[in-house]
Amino acid sequence: MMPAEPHRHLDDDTLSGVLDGEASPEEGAAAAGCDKCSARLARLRQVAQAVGGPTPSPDAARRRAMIDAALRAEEPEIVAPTVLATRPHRRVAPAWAAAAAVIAAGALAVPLLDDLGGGVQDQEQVAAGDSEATADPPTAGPGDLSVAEQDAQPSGEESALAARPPPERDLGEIDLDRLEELAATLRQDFGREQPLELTAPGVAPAAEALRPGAGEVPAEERSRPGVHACEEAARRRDAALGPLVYAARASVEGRPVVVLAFEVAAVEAPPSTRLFVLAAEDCSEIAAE
Amino acid sequence: VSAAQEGDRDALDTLLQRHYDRLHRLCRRMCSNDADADDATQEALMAVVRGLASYDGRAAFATWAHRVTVNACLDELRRRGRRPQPCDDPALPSSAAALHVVGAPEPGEAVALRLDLDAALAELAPEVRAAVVLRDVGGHDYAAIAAILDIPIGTVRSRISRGRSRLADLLGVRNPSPPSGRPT
Repeated sequence: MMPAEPHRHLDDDTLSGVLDGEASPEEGAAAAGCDKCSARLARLRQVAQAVGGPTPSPDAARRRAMIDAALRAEEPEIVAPTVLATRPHRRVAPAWAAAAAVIAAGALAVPLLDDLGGGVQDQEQVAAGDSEATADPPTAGPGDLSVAEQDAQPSGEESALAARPPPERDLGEIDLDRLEELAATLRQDFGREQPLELTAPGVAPAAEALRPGAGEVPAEERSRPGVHACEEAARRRDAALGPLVYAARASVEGRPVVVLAFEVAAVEAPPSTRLFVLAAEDCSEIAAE
Repeated sequence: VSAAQEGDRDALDTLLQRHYDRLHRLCRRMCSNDADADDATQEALMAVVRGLASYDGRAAFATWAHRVTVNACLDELRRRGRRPQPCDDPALPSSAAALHVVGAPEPGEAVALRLDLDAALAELAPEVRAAVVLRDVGGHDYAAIAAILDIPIGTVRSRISRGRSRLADLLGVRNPSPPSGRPT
């Protein structure tokens, strides 16, 4: 007489699958027919039900406020100061210090942290269908806008922002080949706590803005028409994009572009960044890394 | 969803309200304390609003929203740069109570808890926690979780199993005594 084959208990992976209805009928039957497997299954079930149990929930007022804040996400000039500007230390900054270094080193003596007045004007030219709009920093401030430009001014709070234009980075002409190179550098350097040594002339102001703790792109800069439109366009391309951590104007072969970088939270990897170079005129994608 | 995508603010409001509770619960279990959970929920809601135009309907809206939410939670955890801290909110049912409510196979057997659920969840690696939470809070099947986390289904299975086993150990959940007469 052949000895009975020893009973094989199901492993935890299989038992968990049984619990979740992801196992085969045979495996389910095996679990049900074995006391030890049933006991282990019950143990896992207790844990699963505890995790899925009730959690404390914000009160109605808090809930309403959170939803209202989210609804205003379509109006970043309102939302950003109350939500995004409160962020503490951000690890992405050193990486973008590297970005600034590489990009700016490739550009020829461009003014960094330039006055924004021209940027607003550029975007309004774009909005008005002016295909000859360039990234050249204009000298006129918002107070010097033409009648047509004034007509294109946003109203209300947006207008108030435009009346006090914040500085915007203008990287000048950039080389897309170098863009790939710097994107690789960014990924390698992501998470560095110490600022990189920056020796390229003219880089220091931008690098300072990107040091740890500098936070996200300031609300007023995010709300700028060009940045805002292209940020939205980038997010439509990739819903997983995290906070906007860098924004700048530049040009590629003379074509005005907006350079945006987002933090990207990844489940399987350290946080990374996604870099977009988008045409200023219509936010079409020129390059992405 | 389509109305919200077309700019109907009331529809968007309704959509957020409808999904708020589940999103917050995901964040609460992922972050293990109220403050971080609130922050992550806020970020998730904003990401949903901003990214709504990119939602193409290939997955269920809840699946897409939960993906956005998990990313917001992971982002929040990294941003805070610390392990999730257990919450002592008196309004929160204790882990022991939760375990009793769900009913052990042998109700008379005491469930010895060494750590509360928040602290136990905080012991799990974030990617393991995400799989467990998406299953037990989000109610997603393994295929959906695999899509949300962008990992193979087999990995989902092993992470959920590993996470639950670890939680059981941390919570001190013992195997019920088996009856006699069947294979042991």
